[in-house]
Amino acid sequence: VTDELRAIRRVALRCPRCGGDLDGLASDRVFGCRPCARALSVEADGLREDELLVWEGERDGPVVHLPIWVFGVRAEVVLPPVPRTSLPPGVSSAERRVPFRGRRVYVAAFDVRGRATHGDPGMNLTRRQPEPHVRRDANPPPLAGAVLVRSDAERVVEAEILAVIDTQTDVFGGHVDLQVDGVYLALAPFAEADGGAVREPLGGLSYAAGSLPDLDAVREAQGRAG
Amino acid sequence: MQCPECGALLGAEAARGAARCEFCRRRSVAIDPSVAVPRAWFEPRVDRSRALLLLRRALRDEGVLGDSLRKDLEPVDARLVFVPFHLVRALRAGVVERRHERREVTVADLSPDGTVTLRTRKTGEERSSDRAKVIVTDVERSVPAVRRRDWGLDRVGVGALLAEGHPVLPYDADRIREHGTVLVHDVEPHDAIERLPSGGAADRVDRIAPSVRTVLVPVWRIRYRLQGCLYDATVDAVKGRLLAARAPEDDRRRVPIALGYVGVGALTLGLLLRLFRDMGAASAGDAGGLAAWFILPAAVVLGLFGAYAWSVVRWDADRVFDGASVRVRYVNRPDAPEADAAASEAADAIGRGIERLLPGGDRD
Repeated sequence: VTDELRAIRRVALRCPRCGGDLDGLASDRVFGCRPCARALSVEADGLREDELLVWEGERDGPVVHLPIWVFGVRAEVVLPPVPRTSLPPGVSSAERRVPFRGRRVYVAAFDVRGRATHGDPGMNLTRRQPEPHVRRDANPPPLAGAVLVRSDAERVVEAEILAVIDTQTDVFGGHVDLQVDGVYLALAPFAEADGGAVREPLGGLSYAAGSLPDLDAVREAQGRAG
Repeated sequence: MQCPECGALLGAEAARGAARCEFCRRRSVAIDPSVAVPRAWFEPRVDRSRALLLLRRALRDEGVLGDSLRKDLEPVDARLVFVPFHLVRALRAGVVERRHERREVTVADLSPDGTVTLRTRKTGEERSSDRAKVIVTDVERSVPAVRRRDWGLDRVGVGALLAEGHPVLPYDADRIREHGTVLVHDVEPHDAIERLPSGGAADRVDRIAPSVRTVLVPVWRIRYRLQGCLYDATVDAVKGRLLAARAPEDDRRRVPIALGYVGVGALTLGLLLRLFRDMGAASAGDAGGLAAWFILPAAVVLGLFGAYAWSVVRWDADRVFDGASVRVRYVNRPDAPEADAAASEAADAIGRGIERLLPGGDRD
């Protein structure tokens, strides 16, 4: 398939398992099949399947479920040798390896505007390493607002690990030795807060409605589905 | 675009992303998101009379228009034009190198009488011990999709309009046509993506999932007559502000300015000559040689003043409103000759050299 043909190619939003219609907004790049609990990313070579799981939310108050990629990882940051300041002078021969102590990396799959001001939800979760209760729901809420496909989310994982390690030591020139054990797309319950804002699950930060461009559309899609 | 299930042609909504086929009722989406650039538009909030009022106020504040109606502008044409902007967004993730930075240090000086004075001074530029800065952030930039010089389009920030809560509506050709005409874009979305900032040589930053949306922003293009000449202006029809305008320069001011420059030049020359006369009287004998060396720079100084004054009165001028600033543009002045450009570069180089020689950083 040439680039030109791929450019105009369209893919049907139909679940490869059950043949049903997929959930998602018009601007989304990841769509969900509720009966099969699968998330399907629109990648260059077609639809790519991943598991779609629901996090248990707070019992009281309304919530809106926003999509977050969850990568189970084992990782180390490999740093270049440092110049020795003591005798004999020169460069230490050994690479330094700093382990990433977390077990998961979270990448927000929904659109966030102004991360420099509001922070990145995925980054915050990766720093906090919460332990959410995962529910394999037979009828999860409809997936809506997922604009980051899995292959793009994978490109963020290394940066998040480096950001965590950078709080301990300078990671300039380093790279991540990464092993991914498993991936799924989580529907994370963000609690509705004052002024249209939403609060991260498990006691995290709040995000103003203006920082989440698709929030109203997600609310509408999930409200319509009941 | 065709439905991948039944082959039927899809409607206009296919350009906005996932779309449903009218025939088989199946939804489909383009594999490459950049081929389907969604479009949206801002509804105009400023009508023609308000746009003219804004222009009049701006010209009156600058003294172009007087308070009397006799000096009012005469609108020749005013039309609402939708200007396409590419709103480009992407996620940036990776490691950038921290810039060399100056630090502020506070130093305590103990004087002999026992008082302590705290001084803050900046150190020289030094490399931070933490060289890496890891970023996971989003970047957004709006780029005019048309090339129109002197329209002031660089001042329109689509992201800022969105952040201020101006509602952006899905593209609706019929409703847009009711208001005005739409310019055809001549900057491709891919070119707009390329304009997103990338890191320096030592940085390792990925630009992830770039997306483009074309947003139509309404502006009023006003052509008006003033003092017998035609001028153009652009008014933002969403926020109601003057983006750009041209107006006649007040010629009456130019003569006193030129005379002032010549006067200052003559005064300077007179002072120099008087100084020379006093020096010549004081020195014994070699006054003729000294005079020659002294008259030469004095003549150069006077020549510079004279040349500048002549350029002020020589060329026709327009007053250009370019956003917040107002400047004078000489309409029929030719481009600077090579000698002028070389002199300007030399002056810049001398300026940079002087800055380098000055003791930097110490500040009480």
